Amino acid sequence: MCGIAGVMFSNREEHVGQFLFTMLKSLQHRGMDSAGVAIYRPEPKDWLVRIVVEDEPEEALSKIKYRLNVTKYERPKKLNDGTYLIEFVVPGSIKLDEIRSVLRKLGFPILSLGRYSVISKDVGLVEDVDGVFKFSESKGTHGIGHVRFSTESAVDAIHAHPFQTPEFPDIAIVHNGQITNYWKMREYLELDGHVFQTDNDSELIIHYIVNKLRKGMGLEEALESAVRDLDGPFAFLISMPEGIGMARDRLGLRPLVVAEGDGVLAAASEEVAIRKILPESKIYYMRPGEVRVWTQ
Amino acid sequence: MDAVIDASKLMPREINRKLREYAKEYKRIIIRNPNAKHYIAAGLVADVEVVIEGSAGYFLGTMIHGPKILLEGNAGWYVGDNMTSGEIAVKGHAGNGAGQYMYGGTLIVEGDAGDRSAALMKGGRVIIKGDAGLMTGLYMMGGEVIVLGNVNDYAGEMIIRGKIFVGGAVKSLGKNAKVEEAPPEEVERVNSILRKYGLPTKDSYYVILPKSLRPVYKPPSGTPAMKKLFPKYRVVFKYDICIGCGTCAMVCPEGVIKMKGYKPVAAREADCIGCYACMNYCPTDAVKVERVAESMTNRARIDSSTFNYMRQMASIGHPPVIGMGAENKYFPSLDQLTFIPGQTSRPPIDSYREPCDTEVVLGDRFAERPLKLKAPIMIGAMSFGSVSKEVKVALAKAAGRLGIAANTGEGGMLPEERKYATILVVQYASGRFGVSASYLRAGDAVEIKIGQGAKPGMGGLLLGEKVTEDIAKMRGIPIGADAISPARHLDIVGPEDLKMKIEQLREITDWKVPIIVKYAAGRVADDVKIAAKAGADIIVIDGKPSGTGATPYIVTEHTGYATMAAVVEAHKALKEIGLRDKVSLVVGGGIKTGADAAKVLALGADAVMVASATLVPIGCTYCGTCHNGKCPYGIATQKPELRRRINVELAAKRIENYLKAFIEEMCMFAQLAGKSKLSNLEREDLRALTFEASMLTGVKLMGVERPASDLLRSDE
Ligand code: SF4
Ligand code: SF4
Repeated sequence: MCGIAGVMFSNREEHVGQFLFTMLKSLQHRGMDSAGVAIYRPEPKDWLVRIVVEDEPEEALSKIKYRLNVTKYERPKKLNDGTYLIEFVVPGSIKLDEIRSVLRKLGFPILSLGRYSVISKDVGLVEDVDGVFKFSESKGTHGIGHVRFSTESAVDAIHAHPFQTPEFPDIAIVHNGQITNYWKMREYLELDGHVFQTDNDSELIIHYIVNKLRKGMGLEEALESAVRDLDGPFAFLISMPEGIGMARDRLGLRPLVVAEGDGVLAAASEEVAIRKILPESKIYYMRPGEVRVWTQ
Repeated sequence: MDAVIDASKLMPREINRKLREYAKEYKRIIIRNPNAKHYIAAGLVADVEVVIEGSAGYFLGTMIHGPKILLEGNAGWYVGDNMTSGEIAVKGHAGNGAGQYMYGGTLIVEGDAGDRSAALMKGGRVIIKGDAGLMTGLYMMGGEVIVLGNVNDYAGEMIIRGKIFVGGAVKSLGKNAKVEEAPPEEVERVNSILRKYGLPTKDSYYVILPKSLRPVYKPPSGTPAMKKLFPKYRVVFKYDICIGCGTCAMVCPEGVIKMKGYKPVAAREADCIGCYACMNYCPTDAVKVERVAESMTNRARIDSSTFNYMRQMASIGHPPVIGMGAENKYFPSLDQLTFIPGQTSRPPIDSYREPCDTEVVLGDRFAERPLKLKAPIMIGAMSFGSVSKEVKVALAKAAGRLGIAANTGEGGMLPEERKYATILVVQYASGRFGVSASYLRAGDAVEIKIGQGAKPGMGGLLLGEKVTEDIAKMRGIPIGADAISPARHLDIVGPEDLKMKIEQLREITDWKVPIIVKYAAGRVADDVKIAAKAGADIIVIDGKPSGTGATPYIVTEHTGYATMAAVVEAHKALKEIGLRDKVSLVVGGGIKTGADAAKVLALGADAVMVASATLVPIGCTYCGTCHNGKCPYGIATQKPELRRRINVELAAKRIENYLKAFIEEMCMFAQLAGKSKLSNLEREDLRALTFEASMLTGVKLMGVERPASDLLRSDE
């Protein structure tokens, strides 16, 4: 799967959306099925939720309003894959569990859920996705993005990346590659109490990292451990409110290049994406098995 | 005056077309604003200087022949890939795979280079002024690398020929690599090369060299071999008619038959592989070879094949290799399907008197020149190396006369092959043996070999026994070395890589010919969808049972996916993504007659691939000794005394006869089912004789007139 990109500004809000848009456009040849970004703001706000429904969006919205304390909402929008996007805000005081269980009961898949982050993703080219979400106008401290060449799972908005699991809002991942010991690792994590929502290997990486963080590892240590435990070709960026972590598989089968410029850090599958936003900076090719963490 | 190309608004294809055009008139071309675009100067064959003012993306200068390229910025992955002559100088850094698969010319990187520089290089020179990453010179088969800085871990991993000079430190060596202090005359030679390019020199170098020519398949040594115990065949002589000429003993590849004076005797019957050469060549039919029932061990009931095999493992210490297909009888066979006729509900067509259209066009999705076959048959890839030149020429002649496609296989192209085959597919496999821009351009289609049915997930294998001088020259490898292709293309690790590979090959062939992706059947639906989306014109699926020139016995026996299930899945996958009418589907694996082929067409293929079966008309008896060059019929061998047993013209004629009959057979099934075109065969024309075949294919089960899967639904 795909092309990945990430950008971070140290301690300031900038046009992250515009940067990611430019980078993803130059990576478009790596995948044309779908595209998406996750953008972070510096402070937590109320829950921003985006869900997808197949039909009758107005009715779905009223069902949600009836069950959750919705303070703000947008008119449903039609996505490129034919489904509808519903966006609404729930006060930060509401428990995550409550939002999750209401949406699960209603059977509405969650596209984005977070207090720091917003995910925009859909099928189509980068421009098509921006046409729906206008993410290129968003500001933020950091963000990650993805263009997808789908391999084994379905091609629709929900299966586009960045990938997020409602288990851990505000953690998102973009991933280029496969995990070839997926079932082995999943079993191990399930024994540790993790609940998987999909068979997607990107979700596995999130669970894996969270598992290690909960065991007291730092992000960098967790990423190093991931490089040892996860098999197959991969390069991924994982984003959290604190920053972005990244890793490349041991054999270096998937590319990842980074540039650490003045107050701005960028990572991408190919140099061309970084050249577009930081033409002068020195580009560094990540070594096989190398991990890196950028924090605010 | 110099020509200038402003690349900022151009696609790689436009840049390359301009380059080719300007190269005819100008001596120097300047490319402005390259913006890290891919495939710049791909396959450029010209004596011209190209200056690129900026950074380039992937595959800069891939397969160039002649030009001198100066890149002022950084190069992405795979700079100088597979170049055959010319020069590329990179002022900045280079990504992974710099100089991979190189045959000739010089690549200079003034900064650092990434991992796997000079991987599978066969000739030419790579100079890296800075440091080089992991696995420099991975699987190297020739040529020379000079690194002025340090090399990272596993330098020279599995190198079998060539030299890697290192001016800095060598972090660690790969398997089969050894390191020495370079002798003074070598130091001077290296320094004089560096001076030529205005690069700094050093007083001493390490040089990394191969330990052995055959690190994988070392010839057996030391332990005396355990004898095979259980005979599979009985060799019987009729001494009353034997004339004592000794022919049988002479032709026996296994030394089973010995002459006692004028009397032949079967001295080591257990070694007989059932090639029937003794029978075939005996002038009086005085020898007979009969298969005997499988023996079993006393306890545990291990069958004779397995038992003999275990003893062979004990003798040689690595997995024994064989040729041809598997013995495994459990793969479902196309024989479990049968055609049903048209009667009055639909009338049959007279196959003796009425016409049947057999033409098919494959690969008209993006290619300017799709393949127009007179019959839906492609001869499967068999390389020059795995089979003899006589076989290659006979196949090309027969294919040419029938208007069907021949295939070079992965060992380069013989000029005769090109001359006789009207439609020739050139294979592009992971070893890239014999690959160059001119090779690819000489083909009518390019086949990217991802896998082969007989050994899915493994690369091509040609044992050193068959690597003679001719073969070595054509493949760019040392004589007597094993030609082992990597399990995956070093630059195709995932779907987006396949897409880039297809684009790269299109740049080289200028979008003229179809690009084929060939898979071993495995995760068929996923792989087919990926290839289709990556832009393939034609997809080939190779299922089980299927043939091979050399494969570990254990792999061919215990891997794979049945042809009949694979074709249905591939067809369905293409429909699901709405590309069934755009992408052609070709399916092979164990197809021997027109019946097998017609069934595969009815299940959804546009054409079939036939390979091993076309060797039967030349004499092949499926004995399986193809791997070691002892083929008694001169087919899978390079030995002149064995090759003499083939009369090329007669072999070509017999292949032609066989395939003509084959095509007529296909037509018979189409016509008796009421169709006047082969391409109109459909699943409804078939019935399954077994539950299993119906489950695998969705064909209606005979007697119940519904697919077996329907019967399993609980509400029925
Ligand atoms: S069948 Fe082949 S191996 Fe067996 S005895 Fe005859 S020539 Fe030798
Ligand atoms: S090609 Fe030769 S060695 Fe191989 S199976 Fe046929 S007859 Fe035997």
